[in-house]
Amino acid sequence: MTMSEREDFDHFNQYEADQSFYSDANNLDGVNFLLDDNDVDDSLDFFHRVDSAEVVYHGRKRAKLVEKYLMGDIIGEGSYAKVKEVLDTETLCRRAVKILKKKRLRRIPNGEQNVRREIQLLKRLHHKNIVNLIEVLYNAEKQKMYMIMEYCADEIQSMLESVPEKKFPIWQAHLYFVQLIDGLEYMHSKSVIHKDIKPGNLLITLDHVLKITDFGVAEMLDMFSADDSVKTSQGSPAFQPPEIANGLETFKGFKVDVWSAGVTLYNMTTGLYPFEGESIYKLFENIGKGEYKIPDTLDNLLASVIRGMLQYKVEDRMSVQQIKQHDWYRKKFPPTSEIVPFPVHQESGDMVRSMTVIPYIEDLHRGEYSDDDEYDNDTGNVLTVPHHPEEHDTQNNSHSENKDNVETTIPDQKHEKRKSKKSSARKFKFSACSQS
Amino acid sequence: MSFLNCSRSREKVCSPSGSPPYDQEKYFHKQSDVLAVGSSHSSGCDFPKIMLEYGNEPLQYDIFTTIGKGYNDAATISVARHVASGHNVAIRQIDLDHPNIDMAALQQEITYCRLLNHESILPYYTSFVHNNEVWTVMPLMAYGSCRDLMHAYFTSGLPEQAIAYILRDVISALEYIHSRGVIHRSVRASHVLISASGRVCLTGLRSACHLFEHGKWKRSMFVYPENPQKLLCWLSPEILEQNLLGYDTRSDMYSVGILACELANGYAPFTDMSPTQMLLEKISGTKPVLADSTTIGRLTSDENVANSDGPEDSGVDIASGSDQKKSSLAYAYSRTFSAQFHELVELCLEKDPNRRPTATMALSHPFFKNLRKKSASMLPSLLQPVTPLLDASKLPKEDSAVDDMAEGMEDLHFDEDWEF
Repeated sequence: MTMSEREDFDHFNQYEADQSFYSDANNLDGVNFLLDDNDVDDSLDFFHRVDSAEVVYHGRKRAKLVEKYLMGDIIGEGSYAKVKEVLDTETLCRRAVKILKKKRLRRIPNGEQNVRREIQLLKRLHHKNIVNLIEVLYNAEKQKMYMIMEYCADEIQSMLESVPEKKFPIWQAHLYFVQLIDGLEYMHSKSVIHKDIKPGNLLITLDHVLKITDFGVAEMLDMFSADDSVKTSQGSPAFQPPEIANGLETFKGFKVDVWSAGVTLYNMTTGLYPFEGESIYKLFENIGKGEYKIPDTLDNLLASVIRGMLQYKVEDRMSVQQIKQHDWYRKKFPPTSEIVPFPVHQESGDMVRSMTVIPYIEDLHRGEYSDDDEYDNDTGNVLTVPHHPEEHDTQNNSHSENKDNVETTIPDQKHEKRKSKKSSARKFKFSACSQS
Repeated sequence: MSFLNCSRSREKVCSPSGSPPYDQEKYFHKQSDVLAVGSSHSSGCDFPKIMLEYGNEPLQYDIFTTIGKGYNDAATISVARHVASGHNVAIRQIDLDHPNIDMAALQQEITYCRLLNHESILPYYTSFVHNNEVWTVMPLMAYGSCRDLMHAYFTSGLPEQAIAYILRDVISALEYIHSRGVIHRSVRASHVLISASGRVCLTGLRSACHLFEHGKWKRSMFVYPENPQKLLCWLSPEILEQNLLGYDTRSDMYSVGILACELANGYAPFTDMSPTQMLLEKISGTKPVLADSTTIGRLTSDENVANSDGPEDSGVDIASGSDQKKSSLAYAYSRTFSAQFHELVELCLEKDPNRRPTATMALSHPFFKNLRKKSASMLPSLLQPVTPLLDASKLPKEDSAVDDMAEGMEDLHFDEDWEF
């Protein structure tokens, strides 16, 4: 036993409930050592959960196909959906898929209704600056829905968060803002109000085309409605206009999007929010007052367009058409400073947004797992090692067996010959049978 | 619709009232080529000197017989005769009501063919809308595409000399379009057509894209081609990777490498793999090779490995062969391609685009030394015993003969559609 293991062990005895310690991947050796020790048997459940996740993550990415789409890594997670990168195996085009589970949707207020509306709206909208819904697939058995969409490199929100000053150079903000307004103009021409414009809902493609996404709380005006009056809003509080903060019964929908776009522009150029508050009530109170400051760092032209979009009174607020005629909008901004790039992927260190499906393709062509349903489970991303933590009420024998598996799988990586992969895989298969 | 605009402008150019001769257009682009172009025209076989104008009325053309289908069956290509001049032309009729039509791509293709003017790019004489169809009038390329040639006779590949001429002309066409910021994106044998006199023309500009946009040159492209299913084998690794590095004109040079293998081997590399498997191979840097006596050892041994151990280890394009491939493999033992040819292919198929030659650099490669200036003078003899589909001299002069000829034409069998 090395010193570090010894320390780990002591540490463990001291803080049995310290979760951050257990989830530390570097302690895997300590875990193996502990498996041999009967004294700490009680806490094994927890350990297994941790290291099986580790093993699966590093050891193998199992291919999973949904019709012609091969699943890749998770690239985003929302309140009721998970977004993964996928590859269309016929055209080899990169796509993104939003995976929705009926079970989870039911637990969210208006969940199912919002999704239905989003699909309905996206099918109507076809514009360069609005995310394109390619198709929707259903799996009745698993109660899952897959929305196949265009692949985008990242969202504005995470690009902003990746730099210390939390803002874009003016020319980059202008580059995106112009496209946001184009998208809004089109959307409004189709009688659709987004109601949740914010940096987190604006995606950027590899060649810096902005795509408006997340139409979960959007609304389509009735064909016969006299104007754009709407009644409800479920958008993000910090981006809501005073009429909503003040709780008005009805309000003009198009100008809601203009206000939110104004807050977005403010945020992209300053790194700040015009209105803040410790709680939603405080926040709404501040928005209701309508007082905000524009930092001196912004030039007059930019300040004037922001002021025009953040007008307290709806009728004073600029329309999309007026924004397009504004001098700041029309001004040319050559790229004068370094662009804020797409953040480097944290785990892999990938700089160029490489396909994440490649390891899954490798698995697909290993041939052994063509029948992937067997290994399919609801986590989707990775298929867990057969020994589930719940099954550890069995004897110690099974633990040591598990330990073997763990050990053979950890070095089970690319440089190893495939034959060894096969053998370890067979072991898995076998133990899966024996335990079920 | 912009087709109409296109044809209008053409009409003006070709208007009978003392319009400038067609050849003058070439002065704008390539002064050095003018002599050559002029002489080919005066020799006057398949690209008649266009003092005459191709009109926009269906009645001005006698359509003889269908020689191909294309564009997911939406397009019909026919041999026709321009009544006023008696010249043979090919007419492509595209049914706009067909569900698989991508109007934008079609429009773009016609625009490109108008904008680009090079002796090795298939020109469109005119195009117009008639009822629910777009008609495009173009020269008749009597040998068909290189793909047709391989189906007809050269099932195990074309002779090296013929390939040299074909590649040289294709690359010079690419040099020209690259200088204008256009990326072809679908260089493949079925897009290389050969006229009765042996002139080589590149076509298939439907999947092209350009680096020049909104008055600015872009350093690289990121847009993935629409409907790429049929093109996947020829696409460069960087197009397929779809990452932040993007791709540029050098990705066409990768396609040239694949085209070279296709012409030499009789089939394109990667064809018998699933798309995902091909992607793995390309990303891992697998280089297809010309199958001949120098590489056959590698090919077969790798094939064994591939068969026993699954596809991942197969280093080369041939994983497991169809019968046709087996036979061409056997044939490959008996031939040896020149070292220069091997070298050029290897350079073009570099995974790193920066290590590939540009079109201009490729043209000065030793492989293209000692070629005659005009492919037209050499190709027909190199392509024997294949004869062109239609000889200008044998054209029926009277209407009564048309039926006979049409009958004759129907006997001709094409395995693959013309991909215009």
